Amino acid sequence: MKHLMQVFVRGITRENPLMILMIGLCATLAVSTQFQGAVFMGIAVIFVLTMSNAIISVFRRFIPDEVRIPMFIVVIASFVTIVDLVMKAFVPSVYAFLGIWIPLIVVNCIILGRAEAFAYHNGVLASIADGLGMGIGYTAVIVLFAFVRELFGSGAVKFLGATLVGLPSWYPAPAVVLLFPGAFVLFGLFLALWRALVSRVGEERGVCR
Amino acid sequence: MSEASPEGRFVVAAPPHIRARGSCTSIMLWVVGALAPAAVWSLVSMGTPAAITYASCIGGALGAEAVWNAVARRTQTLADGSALVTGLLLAMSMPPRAPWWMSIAGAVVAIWLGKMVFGGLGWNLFNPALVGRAFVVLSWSGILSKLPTKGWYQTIDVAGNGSLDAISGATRLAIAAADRAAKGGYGFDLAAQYQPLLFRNLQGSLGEVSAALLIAGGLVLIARGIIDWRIPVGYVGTMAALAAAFGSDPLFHVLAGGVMLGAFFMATDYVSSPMTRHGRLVYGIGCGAFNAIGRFFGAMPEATTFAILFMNGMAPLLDRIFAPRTFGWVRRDG
Amino acid sequence: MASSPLRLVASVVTTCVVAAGGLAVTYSVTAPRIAAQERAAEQRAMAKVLPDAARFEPVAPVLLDAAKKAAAAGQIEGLWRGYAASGDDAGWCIRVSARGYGGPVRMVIGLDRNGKVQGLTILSMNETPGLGTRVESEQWFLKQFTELPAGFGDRDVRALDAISGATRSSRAVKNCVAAAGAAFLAIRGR
Repeated sequence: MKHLMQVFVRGITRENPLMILMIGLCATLAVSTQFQGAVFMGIAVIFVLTMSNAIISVFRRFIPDEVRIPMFIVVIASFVTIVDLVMKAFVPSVYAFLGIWIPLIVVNCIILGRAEAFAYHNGVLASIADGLGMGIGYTAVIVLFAFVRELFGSGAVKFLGATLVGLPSWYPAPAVVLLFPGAFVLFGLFLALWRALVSRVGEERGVCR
Repeated sequence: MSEASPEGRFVVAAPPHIRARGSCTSIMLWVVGALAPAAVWSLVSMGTPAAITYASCIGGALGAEAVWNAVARRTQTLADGSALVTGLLLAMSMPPRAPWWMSIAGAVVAIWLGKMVFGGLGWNLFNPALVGRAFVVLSWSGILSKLPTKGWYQTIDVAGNGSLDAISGATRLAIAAADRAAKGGYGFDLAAQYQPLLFRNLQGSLGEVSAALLIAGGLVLIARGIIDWRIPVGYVGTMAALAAAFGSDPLFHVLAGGVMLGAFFMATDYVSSPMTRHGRLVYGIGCGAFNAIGRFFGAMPEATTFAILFMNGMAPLLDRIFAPRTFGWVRRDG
Repeated sequence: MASSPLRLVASVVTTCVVAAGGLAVTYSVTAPRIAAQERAAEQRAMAKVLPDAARFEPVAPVLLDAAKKAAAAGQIEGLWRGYAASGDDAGWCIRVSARGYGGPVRMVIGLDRNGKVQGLTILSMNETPGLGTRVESEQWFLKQFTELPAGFGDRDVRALDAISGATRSSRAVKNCVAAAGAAFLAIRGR
């Protein structure tokens, strides 16, 4: 149980996919212009990551080494397609925003990377814990990132039509925050903050280099 | 650094042993001096709004640097004059009627994101003033394009027919770009614009007020050995050649927009331009080429900012390509 | 650890079959909802751009082809005839797309019987947020098209203002409207 907890927490802090491993950044920078979109993107990634990790771990003894990558991709692509169809059917406004980035979860390094690096070699429960931890780590960062970008880039954060937080109307929202240059600069600042606040804990214990 | 030997007759010091008297501060002051005529002329001809823009840009830059140094507990670096130059250059790249908060925001971004996050003067990859300007242009292009056009900030009726473009307070470059897109030609005489562009141009940013004063300032800096002629010559030469190649008037395209300010004062920034001679020439040519390509085929009428920023990023690579060879050594593979 | 070819093929095929089965189930559950959502979005857009009409009918393929041929500036994707509640001819709805800065800009444009723009809306676009998307958020821009004269042509559209800083996105919208105008001239009265 303790081991499972460790695996789970590691995905959020010490091996956070966005802040430490820095994988899957392309989609992150692209969809983090909108808080609501980022929330659903995070949910989609948690679902796909956990499910594909679980399935691959269950069948890991039956998956031949030579064809493991194609089989991983088939498994991942199936779950991504399920997410794609469900989102299209039930939250069309979110789907209109996320668009191509949902199908592109298939090629997101995080998912294939965890399948290859973790689920293929570990038990089912540990793989599920890893998928959940990594997925939640991803979601936490992208949601926070999108919150900051939408708040300062467009002046108000909306979720399902309701305004969560709004800046005063005289605030002249700088569009650059929503553009890619701003995304890169802000992401750099996020990394610096993360290093200063979160992963320093691991450093003191001598586990994080 | 230096200490006297026990006998007091020899001075032991780290190289270089031949020293020039110039310091960082004196170079920065020369740059400010070279910009001063154009800056003063823009103040005289544009009045209060120009003064507000200058004050907020320079004040913002100095304040941002002081605050950063205080918070990060670093020694104050205001005296090296680089923040002053950054603020001044940023102001000269802003339209005079830009709101004051926009100038301050640009200056703060220029100093913090353009310089201090890299570790301060000497470590920055990009020209801080241009980082600030890029931030402003990308952030508030909508506000910038709708600045008030009353009073002295009269629009020029270059199209000669009171068309919509001329009324919306556009610069000559913007009208030229719109004309090119619509008709493939120009609705006004490019050669007739030389004189206002050289001596008194009230359409555009503060630094565009007089190309002649900027050229004079730049030549002084070249004569003093403060900037390398290769960058402005490569820049302006390429710009002119490409403008001619794209079937337009080379002189007009060199004088209009930010080319002179960029070529003499922004691209030549020590920190963000290459160190090697060949590298500088190629760098200047690259700036000119991207500026011309951006201006003729890009979405915006002017591309100086992004051309120079792009070549800033290339500068370390150019230095590596044109690194001087060390004689007397055999290169090992690897 | 070399597996036999048979095992490789068998495992890949099994995975694919199982995955396909799962997807088929998901698809059959979601497909009707997806189709309904898309129809609803289209209906909403059409009702918005042609408020006078109560119902819409797709036109005959011949007319659609003629419209497609006539519209040089953009791609005509669909063409409907609107009818008012009384059964009167209310005008046309044209779904059209043109290339913008970040991909196609897809619009629905409503024209009345005489070819005057009644309304227009952007269905989807991939323009830069804050810059290109101003074609939608700055309301005067789309509004100016409704002031075009009946039976307007390419030149009338070009003469309208563009949004500075969003030249390519503005051009895409103009191309859509110009295409709709050209399509109308080709099918008018038929």
